[in-house]
Amino acid sequence: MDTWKVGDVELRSRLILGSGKFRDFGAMQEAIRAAGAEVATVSVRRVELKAPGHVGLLEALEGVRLLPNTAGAKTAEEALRLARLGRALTGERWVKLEVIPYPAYLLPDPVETLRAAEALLAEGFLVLPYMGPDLVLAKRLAALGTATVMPLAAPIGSGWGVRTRALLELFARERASLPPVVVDAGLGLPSHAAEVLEMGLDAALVNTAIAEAQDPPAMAEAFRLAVEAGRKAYLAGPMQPREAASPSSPTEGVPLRRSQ
Amino acid sequence: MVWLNGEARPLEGRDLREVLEELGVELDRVAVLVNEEAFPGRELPPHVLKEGDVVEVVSLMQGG
Repeated sequence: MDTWKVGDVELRSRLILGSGKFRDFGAMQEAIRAAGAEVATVSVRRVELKAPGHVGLLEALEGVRLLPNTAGAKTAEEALRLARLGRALTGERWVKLEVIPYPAYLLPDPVETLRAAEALLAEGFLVLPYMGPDLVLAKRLAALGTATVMPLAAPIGSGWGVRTRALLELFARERASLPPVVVDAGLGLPSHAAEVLEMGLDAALVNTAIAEAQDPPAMAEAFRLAVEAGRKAYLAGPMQPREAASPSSPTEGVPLRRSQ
Repeated sequence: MVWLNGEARPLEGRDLREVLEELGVELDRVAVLVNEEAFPGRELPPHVLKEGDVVEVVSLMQGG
């Protein structure tokens, strides 16, 4: 069985789903099922104290393991608060660490992310940090002991695809010295997810591309198949590209020309 | 004043759990932050609110 591990958590699916932006819980549930996802991210937000009726998200996500995020944090200290609350809500000790100072491009702050990771690890969290495609930062996070590194393919929600490919290739090359590499953010099509798995990276995290599809469950299934195909292709050992064409049929014995 | 979910409220001297129950908060479904210490709602210890306390009451929401 081809499994992978986030800390002590063994997973079969290499597709993690974000639970945001779905038009209703039904579409989200069906998408999670169709994706074969074992893990879904969730956020932590204030209860509306003027009308504190519950919204039923926990029931809607039954059967899938919840990964609370720190979305909304702009500093390490804010991320710590959200992580602690996420742990109190889910009972899970893992956290998707996001520290994002400016809303325009939603790029993660590397300094605050590193500071937050160190503090969260000291508090016993399994840390899954969202980050730019910066191999040096990835190695610094790995040295601290994070459970994954999660470089972006493109800005969150952009659907631009694997714009950071050249830098992600360095992650693939240095794979042996890194924890599992989960490509998070910017994947817009199943082929983008297949691409990062084909490179030998460990998993993909997808939200908007599925939630905003006209048919989210069908798109979720397409992503599942793409992730499986990409992983299988990586394990099968892809051919090396050549500089020129190479015929697939024998060049000898073609019944058209006379021998000289 | 006590800061409850970002709003200043005159709750000094009141027990936090009682306040939340009066507001209709289902403690089984929330987490509560009391001055940077986070508790599952059902495990919220007795806490008499005092001037300047920061309390956040949160639940899980959809998110990526």
